[in-house]
Amino acid sequence: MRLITAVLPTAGFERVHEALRTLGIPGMTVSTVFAQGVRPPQYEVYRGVRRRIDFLPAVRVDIVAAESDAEDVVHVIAVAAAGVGGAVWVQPVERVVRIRTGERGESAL
Amino acid sequence: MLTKRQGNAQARSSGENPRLGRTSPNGRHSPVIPYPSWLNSGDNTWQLVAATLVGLMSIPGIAILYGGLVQRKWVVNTMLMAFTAFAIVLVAWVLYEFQMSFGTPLHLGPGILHSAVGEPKSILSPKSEIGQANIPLVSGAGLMPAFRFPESSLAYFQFVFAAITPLLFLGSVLGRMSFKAWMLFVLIWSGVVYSVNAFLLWGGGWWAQLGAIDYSGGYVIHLAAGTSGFVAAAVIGPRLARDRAKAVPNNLPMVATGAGLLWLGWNGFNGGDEYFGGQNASAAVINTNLCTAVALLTWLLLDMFLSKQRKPAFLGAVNGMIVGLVAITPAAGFVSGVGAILIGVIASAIVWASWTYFSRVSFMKKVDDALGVFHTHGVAGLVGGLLVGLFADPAMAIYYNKDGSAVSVAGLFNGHPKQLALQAGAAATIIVWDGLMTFVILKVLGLFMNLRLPDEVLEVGDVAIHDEEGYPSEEGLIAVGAGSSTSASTSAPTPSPVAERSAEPAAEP
Repeated sequence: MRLITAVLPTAGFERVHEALRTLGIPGMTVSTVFAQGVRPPQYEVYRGVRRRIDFLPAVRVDIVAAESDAEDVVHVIAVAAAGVGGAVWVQPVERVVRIRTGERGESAL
Repeated sequence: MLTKRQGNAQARSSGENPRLGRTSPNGRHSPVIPYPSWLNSGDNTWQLVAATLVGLMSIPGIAILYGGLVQRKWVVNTMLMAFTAFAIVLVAWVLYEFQMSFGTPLHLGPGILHSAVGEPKSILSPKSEIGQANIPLVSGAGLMPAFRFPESSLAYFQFVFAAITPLLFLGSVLGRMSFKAWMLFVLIWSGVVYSVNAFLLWGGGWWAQLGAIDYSGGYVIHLAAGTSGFVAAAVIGPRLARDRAKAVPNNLPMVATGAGLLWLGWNGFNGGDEYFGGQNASAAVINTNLCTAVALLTWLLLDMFLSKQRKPAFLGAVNGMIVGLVAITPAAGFVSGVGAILIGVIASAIVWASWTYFSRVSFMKKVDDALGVFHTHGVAGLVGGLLVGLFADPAMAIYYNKDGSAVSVAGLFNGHPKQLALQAGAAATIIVWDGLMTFVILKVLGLFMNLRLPDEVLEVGDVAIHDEEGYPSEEGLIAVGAGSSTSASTSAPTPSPVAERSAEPAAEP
């Protein structure tokens, strides 16, 4: 099993979400995060003080998928977010338990 | 009694210090008086309080109501447009607009042109500020009692009305209009369009002479805002498709605060238009609140039993509230409590239907009236203005004649069908003039500048336009410009402690 994590600009998330739904991903966890490197830094001026904002709001998507599906998920995210940027990475997952049913491993996904 | 100036002169001529005159040992009355005999402190106080209440409806009322209703990325732009328009209108108002709206008529031609607008003149002189208020074609013509407060009270009271009108139609054009274009549009619109509206109905202009009535601005303000907002939205073009689809409010508690300021502020809006702290002002205040309560409940019940989701909605209640306030505005002191309740029910139901059904017509969908000003102000103002032609009650005395008879207006249901025709005619004039001139002004401005911001700017919103955002985050914040944390301690261009304190976290590693 693999944990696929994507950090995306807020504006790009909608298309990724739509693409993943089309692909048929059963579940995902989405959090609003502050990320550097996803978008160029932004400048804001408050009361005469100019500030560089390095960490800008972004969307983090976490998906646990079967090993065989992981590459497809990464591909779909990368294609859907092609115009807006962001990053995707994949890690191995040791164990998954579906609490309600007690299922373990890939059947718990 | 003496005027103040004469009083001082007398004190001087008798060789006394006017300050000592009060405590002079021989027990004579003080030769100094606070204000001239035509002034009544109660009337003047009420007028200033009412004006302040109406001002609070604009800032912060409308600023935070609209600021809360827009997406997070548009808060700053919306609030700044509101504050800026308020400031622009005041400067123009004292320089020429007040006299264009309430001064001596400019005779431009026959018929309506004979009294459609006043001569543009400033009201900055001492005489204009502390002299007795006068509207030449109204109080000057004996159609109302002489004012008991100075011109500055009248000018400020009327200014807050002039200022709130562009703020209302801001709701139609926000989320895409260029800030520069907004500043120029407000300046020109309020001179060319608002002054004529106000003169025609309040300054004793053509429609007022014929007998059309508008107690506090159902036509002059709300029908005007609805019409101009709709036309402006059409000329400027829509928001980004994504912004239209995702137009979720960013802060409902802020909407509640703004809406509450509107409701209670309306006590000054309608309560101040008798121009005296009299019986009609009191009646107007309770009628206003009554109609508003009924309209809010009507909208809520329609939402609960006829809407798709069949649930009471807070934003629905706010809409109902605004409709009630707007619809009673042209009628507040002309109708009885029964009239106020009926106007509340009818206007709320009509605007609810307009909001729910008419807005789905493809023509209406094409125009991106962002906050629906067309419905809640345009339709509501029109309905209220026509209903006063039905419900105006001759027993509702605005002033009294010397013989004790009432100065009042009768509507169709009280044996005066002509009133309804007059109301319809005045409405048509406002719609045509405001719609046409809004179109012309924007088209001309469009020759020199982009009215709509480019899409890249619209994607980002506040930060792209103002370098500020409504809810900035502290994460990853580094002060890099003037007054940054490194230089702040030695030579801070902004010595404000707040700026320094907020710059501190950046200094930490």
